[in-house]
Amino acid sequence: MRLFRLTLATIFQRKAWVICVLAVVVLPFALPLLSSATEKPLLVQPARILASWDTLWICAVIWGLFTAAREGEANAQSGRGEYFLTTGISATRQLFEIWLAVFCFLAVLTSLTALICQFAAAPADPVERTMWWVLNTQYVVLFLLVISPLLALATALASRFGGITGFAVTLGITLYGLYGVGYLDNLLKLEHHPMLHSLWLFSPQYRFADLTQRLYFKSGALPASAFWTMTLYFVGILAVYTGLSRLCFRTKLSS
Amino acid sequence: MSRLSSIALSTGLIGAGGLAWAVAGRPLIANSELNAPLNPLGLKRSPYGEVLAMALQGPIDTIFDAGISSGSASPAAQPAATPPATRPTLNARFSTLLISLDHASAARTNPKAGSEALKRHLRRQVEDKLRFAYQLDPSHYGNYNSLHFFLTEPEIGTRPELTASAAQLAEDTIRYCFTQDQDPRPALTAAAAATNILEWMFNDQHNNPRKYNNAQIRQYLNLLDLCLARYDHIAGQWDHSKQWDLLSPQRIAECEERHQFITKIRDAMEKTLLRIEPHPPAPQAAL
Repeated sequence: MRLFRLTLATIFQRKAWVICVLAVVVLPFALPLLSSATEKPLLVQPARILASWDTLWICAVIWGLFTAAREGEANAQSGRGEYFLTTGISATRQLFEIWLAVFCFLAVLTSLTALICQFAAAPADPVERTMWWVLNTQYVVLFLLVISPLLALATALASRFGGITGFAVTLGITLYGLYGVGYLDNLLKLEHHPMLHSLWLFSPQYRFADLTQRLYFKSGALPASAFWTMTLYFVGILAVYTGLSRLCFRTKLSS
Repeated sequence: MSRLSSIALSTGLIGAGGLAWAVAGRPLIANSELNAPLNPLGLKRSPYGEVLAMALQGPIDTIFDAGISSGSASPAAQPAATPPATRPTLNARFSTLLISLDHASAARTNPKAGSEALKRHLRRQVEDKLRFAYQLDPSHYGNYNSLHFFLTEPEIGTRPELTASAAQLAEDTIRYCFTQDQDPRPALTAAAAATNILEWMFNDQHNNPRKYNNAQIRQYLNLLDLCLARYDHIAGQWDHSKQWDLLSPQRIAECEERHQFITKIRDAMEKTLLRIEPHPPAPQAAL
């Protein structure tokens, strides 16, 4: 696991993670002070929920994907990948170790967010409270399932096509899955179109993993069967992305 | 270049630039003619805005549903994907799965209903969204009517006493729609706005000191006729230039249905006006 430790140490040394940790910890408490929650204390907790999960999404999608892409590019460009290849670490193993290093940071950020949401924004009602930690756990699982394969894809694409491509493509896929698919769905509801319908059908529907609204509206935990179906769905996407990333990943720049 | 002159050059650049910036900036800010309305990327009232405004109707439903029907949706009712008689294709099954997930992700499992304050807050959000959709495309029939309905319906709106601003909204819509002379559909929106104003005037009949007399009602009825005539005129032009063929069948059907609806309302309104107008005795005798 030398590449893992090296990548972990590199990201740690660059210190950009400090900004993310500060944002994830401080913004949920600072942003409600700027919102209308100062006039209506009832809205402090919804405002905190929005601030904490939205900050996490922004950090993961911008910093997480960017870091993953940069590490992938650096691994191929600096000759590091080639060196590790000669020491017997296969390309897939390298991809896994780089991914794991970035994932460790994101897992910590996600746990921090979930903890803030659990202990600083929980509803007072006992019935709602019992559902709260279930919903939080569901959100953590779905969020990590969505973001993990994207990190691997960013690394793999960046190793072959450069950091900007790796970052921009995965950022585009995430935004499309979170919001674009929903707008496409609305357009299809107005008017049926067979080609757009199949595009919609085989798009990654990340919007299911965004449970912020459920927390915000206190809608309660996801029904168990739906949660397991979603898990299966995202595991399927994870497998597809892992396959694509394996095919795409390179340990050295193509000449 | 020595270090001192390099610093001097940079300082000179910063100083001269700052001076030009400050001197030129003041008159620019003060000039009200240059004061462009807030319109990011020029989306509002643009062709893209029209499509976005239609797509926005979905998120409005989401928030509206979360606010109004809280607690009513039981989780047991959700996974009821009806099994079709024939063996469904893979695509159809996948589509059903995605739709059921969509329902499940919006289902409310919390046994407690949302608080009043939360509902009010959500309604406020709906209003903001509706207004944004309206700003994106004021000539869109659905956008205008949903916003009008929201503003005037005390059961769902946040501020029931808003009749004056609803009238203002109708006036603005009519004015904007009359600038659109390439498309017949804005004329229908203008006609809908005119019927809304007329409805408001007819409701005023029951007030003791009436705010509007029959002549004013007749004036708006004429405006409504003008809108419908304008629709017929541009629609005729479209018939001629085959532009209707560019629209999908759903859009055309929607357009015809709205036209019929407004024509019916118009006829009913004219009859009401004839009944309350004191002068012409002939129609009353016929009745």
